[in-house]
Amino acid sequence: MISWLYVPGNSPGMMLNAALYGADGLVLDLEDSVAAEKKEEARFLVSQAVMDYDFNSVALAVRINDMESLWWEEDLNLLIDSGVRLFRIPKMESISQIHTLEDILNHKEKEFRLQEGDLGYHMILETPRGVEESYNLSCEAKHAKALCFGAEDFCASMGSQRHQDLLRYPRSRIASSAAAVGIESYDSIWAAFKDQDGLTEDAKIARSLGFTGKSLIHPDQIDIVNRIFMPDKEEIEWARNVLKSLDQPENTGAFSLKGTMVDTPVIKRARRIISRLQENTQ
Amino acid sequence: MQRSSDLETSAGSTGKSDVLVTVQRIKGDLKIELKSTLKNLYSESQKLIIKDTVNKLKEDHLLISVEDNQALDFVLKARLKAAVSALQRTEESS
Repeated sequence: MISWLYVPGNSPGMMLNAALYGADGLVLDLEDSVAAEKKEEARFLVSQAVMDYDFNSVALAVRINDMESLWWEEDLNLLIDSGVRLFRIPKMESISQIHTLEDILNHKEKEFRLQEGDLGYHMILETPRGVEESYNLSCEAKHAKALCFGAEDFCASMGSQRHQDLLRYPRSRIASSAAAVGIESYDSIWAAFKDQDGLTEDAKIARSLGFTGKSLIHPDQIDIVNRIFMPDKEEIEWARNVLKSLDQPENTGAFSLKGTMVDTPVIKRARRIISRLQENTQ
Repeated sequence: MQRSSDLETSAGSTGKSDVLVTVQRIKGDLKIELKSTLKNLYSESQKLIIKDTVNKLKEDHLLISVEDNQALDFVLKARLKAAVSALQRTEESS
């Protein structure tokens, strides 16, 4: 999974075609795109959409309201009852939040006779504390399927304008924490949806820092992000050559391929590229 | 038709693909007022959806006004549930 497109949770018109644009997943949003006085009706709309509307088999997640808000528990309960199995939880930053959430999910899995891990969530880290705690939180978050970075809120917390220098550290830290526990990592949205050059540059940086995909706010962003996060021709050819070289009996331990050393980490990287290619072309 | 109070709640909007649902308590049985851009085509099926949803919510004494702008069925159900929920909550708190 590379591209997750946010869809405002109180806009039926935007939901109707959302599955047709080619994103790997849709995030129906109850948080920032919904005004406080519309939270309940958005919750009902998303719940009914999940039950009745055909999203064309595209993966679905719902971003609920943050755990310090008035709405998150009702969001979670109604939506699990409606069949939602994957959530995005904003502004996560403490172990106690993780424990509360894990308890609810464990309880719901038992109530609905689901397998352990059938319910899951993407943890959105968008405060300095959340970023600093990302590894510790990930270790406790048994239902977490991914870490996501929220750049806009992070910049607001830091009192700074969005700038690549400011974002490099939290992005690296989050991508590294996710890799450490073996889950996906999704970079923040690029808000200037008409600025495709800016998005391209931003997505390239995110990939180079180790993110496995990116969140999006506009259908025009999907193709760019899918292309950037997929291994390119040169990488695929290189990885295939590395793996093919293992067929030679003399190529054990560290050996040379076209003048470059190949050893265990290089083989691991080659396998990861091929595996990523396979995961995203099925 | 006698209203049991002036209280009314609503959900949704008149924007494209949406529907504005307004509910009020009345003394008599369920009453539905439909205003739709496609009224003749879908009014009967919309009434069925409304009756079915209201039954599931175990409600009856309601005046339901619907201003539809080509909303799909799931949108109508959701907006109705939200409007009724808001009415119940407001009644409980008053």
